[in-house]
Amino acid sequence: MVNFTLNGEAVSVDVADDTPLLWVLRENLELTGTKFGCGIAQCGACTVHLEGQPTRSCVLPVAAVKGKNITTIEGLMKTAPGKALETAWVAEQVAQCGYCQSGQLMTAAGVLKNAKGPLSREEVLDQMSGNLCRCGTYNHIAAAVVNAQKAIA
Amino acid sequence: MDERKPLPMRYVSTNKKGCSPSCEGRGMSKSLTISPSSRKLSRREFLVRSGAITCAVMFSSSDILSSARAAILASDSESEHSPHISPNIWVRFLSDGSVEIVCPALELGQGAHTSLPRFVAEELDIDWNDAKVVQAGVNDELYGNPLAWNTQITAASRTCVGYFDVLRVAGAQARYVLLDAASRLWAVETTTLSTEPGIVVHHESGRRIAYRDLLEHANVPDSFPRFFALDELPQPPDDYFGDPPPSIVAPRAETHDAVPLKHRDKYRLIGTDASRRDIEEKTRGTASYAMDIQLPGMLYAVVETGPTPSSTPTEVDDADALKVAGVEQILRLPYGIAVIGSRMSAINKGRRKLRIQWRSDTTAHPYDSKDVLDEFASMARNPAFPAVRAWHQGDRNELSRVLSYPDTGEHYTFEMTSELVYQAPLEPQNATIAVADDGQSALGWVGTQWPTVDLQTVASILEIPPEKLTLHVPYVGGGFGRRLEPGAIVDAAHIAKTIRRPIKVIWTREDDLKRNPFRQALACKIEATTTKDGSICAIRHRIVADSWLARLFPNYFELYQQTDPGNWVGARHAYDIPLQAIDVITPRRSIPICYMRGIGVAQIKFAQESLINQIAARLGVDAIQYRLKQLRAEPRAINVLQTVADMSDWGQRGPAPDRRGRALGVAYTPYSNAHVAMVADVSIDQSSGQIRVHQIWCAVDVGMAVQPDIVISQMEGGITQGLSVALLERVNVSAGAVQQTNFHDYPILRCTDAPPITIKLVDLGAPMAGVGELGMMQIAPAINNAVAQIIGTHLHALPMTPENVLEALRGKATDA
Repeated sequence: MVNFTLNGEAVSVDVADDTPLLWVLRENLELTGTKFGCGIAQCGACTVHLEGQPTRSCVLPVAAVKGKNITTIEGLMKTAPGKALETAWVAEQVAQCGYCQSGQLMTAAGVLKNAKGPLSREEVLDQMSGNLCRCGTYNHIAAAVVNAQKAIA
Repeated sequence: MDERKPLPMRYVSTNKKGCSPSCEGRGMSKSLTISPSSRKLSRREFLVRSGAITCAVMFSSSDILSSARAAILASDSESEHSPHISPNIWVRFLSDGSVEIVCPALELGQGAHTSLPRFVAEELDIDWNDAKVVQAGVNDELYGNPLAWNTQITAASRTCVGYFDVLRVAGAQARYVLLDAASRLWAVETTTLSTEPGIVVHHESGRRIAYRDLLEHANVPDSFPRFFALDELPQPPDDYFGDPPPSIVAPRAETHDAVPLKHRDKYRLIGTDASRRDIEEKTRGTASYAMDIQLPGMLYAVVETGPTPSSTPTEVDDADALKVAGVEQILRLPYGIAVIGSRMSAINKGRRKLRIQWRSDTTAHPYDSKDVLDEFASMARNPAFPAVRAWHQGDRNELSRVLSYPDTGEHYTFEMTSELVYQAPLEPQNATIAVADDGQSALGWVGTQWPTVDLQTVASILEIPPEKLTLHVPYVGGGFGRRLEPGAIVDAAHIAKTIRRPIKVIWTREDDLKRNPFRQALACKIEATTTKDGSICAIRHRIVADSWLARLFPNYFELYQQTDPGNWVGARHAYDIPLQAIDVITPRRSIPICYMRGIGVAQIKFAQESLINQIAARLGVDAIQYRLKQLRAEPRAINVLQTVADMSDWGQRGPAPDRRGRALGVAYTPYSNAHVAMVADVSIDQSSGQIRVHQIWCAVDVGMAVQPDIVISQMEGGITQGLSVALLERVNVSAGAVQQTNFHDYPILRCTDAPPITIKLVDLGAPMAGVGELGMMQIAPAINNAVAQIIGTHLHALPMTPENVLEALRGKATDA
């Protein structure tokens, strides 16, 4: 049994310790907002927050989150920064195919959280280079993050 | 037939035998039949058939259907509501006042679920908020694209263009039913009635009635009057599909009861922006892709395949794999070994413990990407190698003579090669299939661009009639051409046939890359001759590439004189050149080829637009001015070039490197009735050879823009993807085996290398043109033309790697 806190609620799953968190979230806990893209932490589609910081769930053994706090896109969307990001993302019409977007938003939430001051386009992109988007929405992502930060401030 | 037009391929498909793609790819040994038909079903037929569609599958465990995730069923299936009234297959008035609109195309992120229903809503005249969008089921006869072989394909930038007339007539028919009801209710002529969004109005009497209140009075007629368009330019021929067939929309009022469609000057929805229907779900993480399907009792499977496309398993030792907890079964497929179990992590673990010996087809020469491209380049270079003349203009002998012995001007050549490219949609191939207990029917879920082919492939593997398979087509996590043919669903069908439990097959990224049909490797050589005043008087392209069409649709390949238009239509251009020829060689090789967004156009334009700059440079003429001179008869071309010159401050700044070492490069590309001009601001790190793009300006004329912000997003996305392909992407194959495995050794563009992009739409009143592929076509030549400004020579290979730049800097390649 592995126990951890998922989006603010205690969960308990009966899986092997080395099971990647991604598959535990998607299969056991049926939260499919977190996506499988590459399986080797290269694309960022599986990004979740571990203790509030973005991390790649496809290479994170579930044992590593025992007793810890995990937030997925479903949880983020219930928070104030998540709602600000959602509003900015929709206003900017960011998503195309959308498959990478949960991961983009999770990383963006980390960027907002760690920001020391107003973010420029370049500062946002520098911190989001671990998240691939094949549709080419990068400019819209940067604009949405900058706008979300302004909305929160 | 006018020589300028390619073979009108559209007509080819009306062959009642259909075409039979011979899918020799893995697991696709059965021949497929695409049965295009232009026959429209009567409403009665439709109701019967749609009933069959939704009720075809009976499960003993009846909860499979009902507990298939509600979100999926709601988003992708045929409506579960009973329509109050349904004037045609596209529109259903519901009693709550909302209107369901069926969208025949797949939502790939290109906005189909927004743009297409707005055609209906515009003509029907409803409040857009009252429109509910429903994904059509899979049925070529009902939902085929009239301008794309009458099949339900979402590709080739044909979605808006192809469905425009069908859907606006659908909206007009629905409105006609309501006007007819109001006219009977109020005993007035329909011609005295008009509509406001959702309301029928009789101006004379001031009476008004909401659509929903008319439903009880509405009758759907057995036939509708003909609808006609006022003062509209006809849809021009398409570069790939040729002449459009006669439209459902008449060009003028042919009968006394013909009803005019809205003129574009009166459009309220088309031409304005609306939030895309898929955006909110995709932002919140609640959008469902095929990857997200979960069924009760479902098992997962991964499939181990051999090192080359022709490999088949001989000896298999699965003892250790079967010991892994969670692995339930190992199944031998014709081309691989499936590991099946309850959890992905378990079957991935089990897969690693398989010990398999593979046999490869030793008769086929093993593919080596470098050797193949060298061979293609020598075929392009060697005029003695036989080629098919795919298209020409002017006298053939005169063309040869002018190219061989220029009278007064100069002779130019440009050679290029382009390597295999992986389309790399971010959602890896996956599919779910559930076969009924009796094996006679099935359900499937797949992300696809051409569900007809998936449906027929799976039905053929399951040995059931296609109508016994209900295929759900949820949002697609990236198409880009890759999803024109079945992938993981072939595995799923083979497995589901045997194990009779719902099965989801997921290709790992490594599988997705290894088993991918790639964008064609291509070599070409262009020769051109100028007159004394420097204008081009003769041009000949020789293009060498393997073919998607030849592999899957040999009938079409034959009808195109054994050429693949995807490889050569990019050689057609708008420049005013009297003597032209396109010669094509299509060698077949063992690595499967598939179209990618932009088809071969994105490759040929690299050579063509680089050559134009080379000529301008030799003449000492500004590259934009030189193009303008050659495009005198094309006002739309002139307009986009002048617009992008203004946007980029070309006149003031000039293309030459500035103090920062940054130079400008221009490219102009017409494609299928769209015109695009781009300027890229580029620098090169001369020690590493790394090209960096700092800024991009792009002027686009797609005629009538259905939704301007979607056009801009498609352009930006295409340009960004095109930049990635132009600078970074290539697949190497050695001894038949793909060398790259995942995004660490097949890098795609990251956001830190994505430049700001400014797009401007311009419109001189032309009919709508497709957009999806446009952005891919100018970026590589625009960069190359800037590179030539910086280092004095063009590059001749895609991708434009640092090694290529360094080699050019060392003087091994020159523009001479």
